[in-house]
Amino acid sequence: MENFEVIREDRKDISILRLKGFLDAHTAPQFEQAIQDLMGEKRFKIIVSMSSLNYISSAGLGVFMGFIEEIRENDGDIKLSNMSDKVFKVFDLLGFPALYQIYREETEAEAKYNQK
Amino acid sequence: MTKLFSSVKVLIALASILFLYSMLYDMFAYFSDVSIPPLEYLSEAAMLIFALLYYHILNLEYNLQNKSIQESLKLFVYLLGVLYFLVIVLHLVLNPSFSPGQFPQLPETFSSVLYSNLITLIAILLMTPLFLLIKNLIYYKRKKRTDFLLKSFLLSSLACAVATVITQAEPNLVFEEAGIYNNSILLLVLVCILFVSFYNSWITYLSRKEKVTYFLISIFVVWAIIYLFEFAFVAAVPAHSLAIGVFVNIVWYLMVIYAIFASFYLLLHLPTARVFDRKMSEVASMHDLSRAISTEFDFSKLVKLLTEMTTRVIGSDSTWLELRQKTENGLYIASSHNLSTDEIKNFPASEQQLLSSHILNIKRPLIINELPRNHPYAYVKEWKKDIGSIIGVPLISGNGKSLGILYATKKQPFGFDPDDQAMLEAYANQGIIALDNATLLKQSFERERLEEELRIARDVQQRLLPQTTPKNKYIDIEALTITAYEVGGDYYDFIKLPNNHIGFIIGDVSGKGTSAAFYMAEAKGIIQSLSRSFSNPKELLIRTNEILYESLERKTFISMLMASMDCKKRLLNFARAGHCPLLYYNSTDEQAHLLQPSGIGVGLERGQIFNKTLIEQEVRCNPGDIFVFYTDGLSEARNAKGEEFGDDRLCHIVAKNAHKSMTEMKQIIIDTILSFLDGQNLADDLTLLLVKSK
Repeated sequence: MENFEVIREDRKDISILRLKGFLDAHTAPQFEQAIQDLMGEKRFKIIVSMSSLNYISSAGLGVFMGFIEEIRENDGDIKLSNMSDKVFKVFDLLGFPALYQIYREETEAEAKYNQK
Repeated sequence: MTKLFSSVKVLIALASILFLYSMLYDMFAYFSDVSIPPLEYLSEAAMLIFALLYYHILNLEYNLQNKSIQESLKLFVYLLGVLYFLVIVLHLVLNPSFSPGQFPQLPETFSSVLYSNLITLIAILLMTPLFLLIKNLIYYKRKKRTDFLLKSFLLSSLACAVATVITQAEPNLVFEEAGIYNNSILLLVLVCILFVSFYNSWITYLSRKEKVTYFLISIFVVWAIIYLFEFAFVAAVPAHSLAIGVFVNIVWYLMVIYAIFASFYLLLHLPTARVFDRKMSEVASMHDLSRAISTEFDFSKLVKLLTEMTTRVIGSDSTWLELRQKTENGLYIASSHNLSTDEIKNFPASEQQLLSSHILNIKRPLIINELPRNHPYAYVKEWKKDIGSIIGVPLISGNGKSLGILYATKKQPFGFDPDDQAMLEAYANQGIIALDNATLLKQSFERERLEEELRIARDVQQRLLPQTTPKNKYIDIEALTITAYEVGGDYYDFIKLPNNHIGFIIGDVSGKGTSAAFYMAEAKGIIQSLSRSFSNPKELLIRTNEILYESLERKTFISMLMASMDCKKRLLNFARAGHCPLLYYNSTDEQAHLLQPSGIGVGLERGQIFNKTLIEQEVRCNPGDIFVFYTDGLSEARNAKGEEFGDDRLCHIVAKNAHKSMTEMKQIIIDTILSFLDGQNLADDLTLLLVKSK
């Protein structure tokens, strides 16, 4: 089993989840749990930062899809940031840029939240 | 003849006749004062046969052999009482007197004659069952020797009776003159009796209560038996029949000696009775436990069974089973007996479980028989107030791992002894084996279930894939699928479209296992039916997305690439819904290009964004051009170093071997991938469609 970790940082009403390692079918539940925890605390403004993410599989992509509808219904969002080229390629292939806001840096995503 | 012997009524009639004859002869002898030896002998014989007939009738009507020890003893005492009662009544009513000083004593009054006859009758009727009841006791643990001894006893008794009748000597163990014969045989009989008196193993298995009660009763019974002969039979029976007199005398000897031995043995068993009882119940409960847990495979039921049975056997006030937590340190209560809900709720946290940690460390049982305030483990009394003494036995599985601890407590201190510890250890061992088995069984069922599921998924997948590749004069098609161990959701298909068009579809369901395979089946069905109405790839994909979005789970999506080729016009239209790019080798510039028009995966969005982003691209192809449809199982195939195979490598191979047939190209690609993997397993299914324009 590959290593995976979710590190959470809360900044006011925004929560940043930093993914580290390999996100696949085995480790996806950890990521799921992190998002569920945020939703349970009514924290719907989420940024997923992937600078330390080495790999993401379709199971990992599915995690986003599983929660995005409800999060957006609660006036929140999952914004994506800091993807490496390799990781971006995976998101891009599937068409995620048309569905999610993707930024180079966390700060840009934060700024977008604060704009409102 | 046998029928005659089995008719009880006939036998009773016969017996009565014999007895009557004997009685009448007695009366005749009394009144006439004459004795006629032949008739005398006939009377004796009659009595003997009477006794035998009675024995036979008794066997037919009452099966005394099947009576338990307790029942036999009860009946024995009862019959003894009846015997005394009848003798006393007859004594009072008939007031007999016999002439002393000679053997046999003669009746002095007519009522004495009556008395001696009736006493003899009663003696036969009651001493026979009394003898049979003692036989039950002797036969409790039957051996070959027992039969031999008893037969010897009966035969020598008969011989003694005959000798006494013939010699008219008194069987009083005085070896002079005529008395030498019958008394020697009597000695032999007594030796037999002595031997059989050791056969009292029925005493060992009585409960402690029974041993005490029977011992106390036996004191009176022994006395009653000893007095019996003097009181009832000594004069009266020989007066009527010498043979019966001898029998009665011998049976009396047996009763006295056996009763004395039994009484003595009962006394000897008293000190160990309590411990013996306990050992017996321990053995019984071990059997119970073995039986119960060998048929129980449910883990939660097993642990309950363990605590319940432990309480029953050891007589503890509370029992509970602590097992290791699966993922954290510390133990939890798996089952308990007589723990209050508060106590269960307030169970100490793992850092505070000092006693349990200690026991798991030393891997041996621990008895704490008193818990004064300064005891290192006195903290358990804070958790559970009524612990006077406590014993904990670790459960250590076959491979030396400690799985938990079985605890029992008593309210009073010094409540447990080494026996209790041994018992608890035995229970814990049994329990551990059963628990291990239950766990292994569950895992094995689980594994089997998973493997079965995988098999089904792979089966479904195989059926979904086309069995043949279409052949026509315009294009050369080859298909390749390599499945990973964990079934992925790869799928491809060929669709016959009107106007010499061929449709190519390749897709990849996210996720693995049976659900991926079933979604694939659904997608195939939808596409096949839609293709009858829509031949245009973009349109087909849009309709497919509409339908599939409703039935796919939120987390699931399918990447698809759909192409429609007009073979005659050499035109290929395709649309890419989130799938890997289409590899297009242009024979003109001898370059392999990756075509990636925009498009999001199927099932991600209801349709607005899907339709907007999906672009259909057209490629005009020339002879020698090659299209390669593939799934990400190929680009993501990893070798031992963690390197990905990648699109570029594929482009390179295709370009290099573009002039070859697709069959050859397929083989080259397989070989290259396999040598790249170098023994590593595929993470995901790998699918390739090779289409060459001829």
